[in-house]
Amino acid sequence: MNYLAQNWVTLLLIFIYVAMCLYIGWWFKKKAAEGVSEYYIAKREIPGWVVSLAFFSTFISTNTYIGQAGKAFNAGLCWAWVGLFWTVFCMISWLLLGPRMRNQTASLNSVTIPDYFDYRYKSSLSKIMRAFAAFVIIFATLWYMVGIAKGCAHLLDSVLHVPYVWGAFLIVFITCAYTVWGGMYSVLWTDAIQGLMMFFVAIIMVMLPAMYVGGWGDLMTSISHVTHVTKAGKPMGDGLVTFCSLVSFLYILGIGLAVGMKQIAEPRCLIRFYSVDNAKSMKFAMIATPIFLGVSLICVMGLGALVHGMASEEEAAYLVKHTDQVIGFMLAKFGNPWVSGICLAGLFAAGMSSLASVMLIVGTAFIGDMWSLYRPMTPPQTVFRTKVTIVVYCFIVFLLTVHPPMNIVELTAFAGAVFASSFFPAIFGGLYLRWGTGHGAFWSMLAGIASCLIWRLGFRFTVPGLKNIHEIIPSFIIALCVYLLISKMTQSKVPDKAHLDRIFGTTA
Amino acid sequence: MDFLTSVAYWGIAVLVIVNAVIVFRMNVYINKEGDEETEPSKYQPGV
Repeated sequence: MNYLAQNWVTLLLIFIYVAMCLYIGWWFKKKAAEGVSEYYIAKREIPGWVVSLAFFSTFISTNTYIGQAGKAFNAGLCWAWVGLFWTVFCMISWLLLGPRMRNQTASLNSVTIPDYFDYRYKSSLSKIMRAFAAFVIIFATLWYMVGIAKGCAHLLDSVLHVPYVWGAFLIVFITCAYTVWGGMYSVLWTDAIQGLMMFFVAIIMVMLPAMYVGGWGDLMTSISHVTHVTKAGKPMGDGLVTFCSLVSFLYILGIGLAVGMKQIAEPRCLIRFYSVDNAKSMKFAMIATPIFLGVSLICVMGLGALVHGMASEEEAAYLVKHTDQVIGFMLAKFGNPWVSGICLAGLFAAGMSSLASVMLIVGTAFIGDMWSLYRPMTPPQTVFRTKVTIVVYCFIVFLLTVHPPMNIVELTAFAGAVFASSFFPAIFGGLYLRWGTGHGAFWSMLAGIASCLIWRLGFRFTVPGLKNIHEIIPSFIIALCVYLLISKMTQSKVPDKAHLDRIFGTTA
Repeated sequence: MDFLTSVAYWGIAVLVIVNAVIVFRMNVYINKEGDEETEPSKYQPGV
């Protein structure tokens, strides 16, 4: 009874949120089961504001609201530069990829990212490339999902004292339930609601340190010169408000690129473009998405630095070594159950929206791009087997979350670099270059993955001075060069003119 | 907060506004699924 009395507000808000997600999934169950196009891409009939919020909530996860926000505790207010880079890539994604991707995939009747490679390039390597891209998605996504589930389970454990294993089970299988029922319909609509929650939670969270201290003026004065020490034991002084005093700009650039580029290469983000219903919706989403993302990042990315104003020297000495606990500390110190409940619901929303998106991507990749490629199946079989795949994959994710590998954070970051370097040249070239070939796309994928591995395992941590150069930078450049070079060398493999006219238009 | 640190915050706001202006001036065309008679030449000329 004491437990309920202490936590009823948080429990009530989380219960309402979870019930709403499950209801949306159930509501779309029948509609999503009508066909492959319905289940995989919501039949390209989703309004722009829903797709916009879904893109925002899919890209941003608990890692941003807890991990990145907490990181500013050590790096200072200049950590928001990471957010600036992310906003740039959000704009690039919507301006350069969004409308073209929507048009070309509709022309080709493509419903997944790997099948776009197949239909667009139409080469002897297309089928292999499609299956290979699906394999990369399934493998790289696994670590991302485990990382998200682990973060949410720890949050449930620390705030509501739910045992870690039960927390992992609940977060994975509640998300699994509404994803399996409603396919892309429920993923997009729940993502939109989760995106709205995340947007307002970001605004609420940034106000808490100022309210605690007594105003923005007092807060800025208190963090302008702190007596707290860095992880290395040196006094921070005015480092929190001085550009790159506590962190190198090269490191900020590496994280800014490695994570930000996910928006131009990861299937969970790009698949959002498929579902936009018309030009008006597309224009709205192109304007609104950078606003949702940008405002949230302004609020969240420097939040950790502001928390110094709430922390004593002893508390800061602990938090500087445990930056993932900075946001939890802030909520506990503020001490308002309604604020904590609302923020926690927002943090779960951030985790669940990302989980649901990748669950569906994995199911469609395995069935639509691997199994059905070699053993064709009817639409009802495709939908049913996709659902089964999602459930089985969730069991694997759950088991790995219970026994996570030691280096899960590094694996997750590495997976992002693999996506950006291996998928982007094939996508960008496919959308813009008539002369791009399947051979160029296939070999650029291999070159992207290989250079990621070689840089990380062979150079980054062994050659002095290269530690802060993230593998995304060299591997992205290499993959892009390989795409251009091999495409130029294999011009005889360019698809026929009629096919290209269908994709690009006849007057080009 | 020094100037370069503050750039990150107002820089995001400026980017968002610039993006909105670009999109307002763009002519965005969206075709239907399986639509062979598209008009993408207006929007996506290819290279």
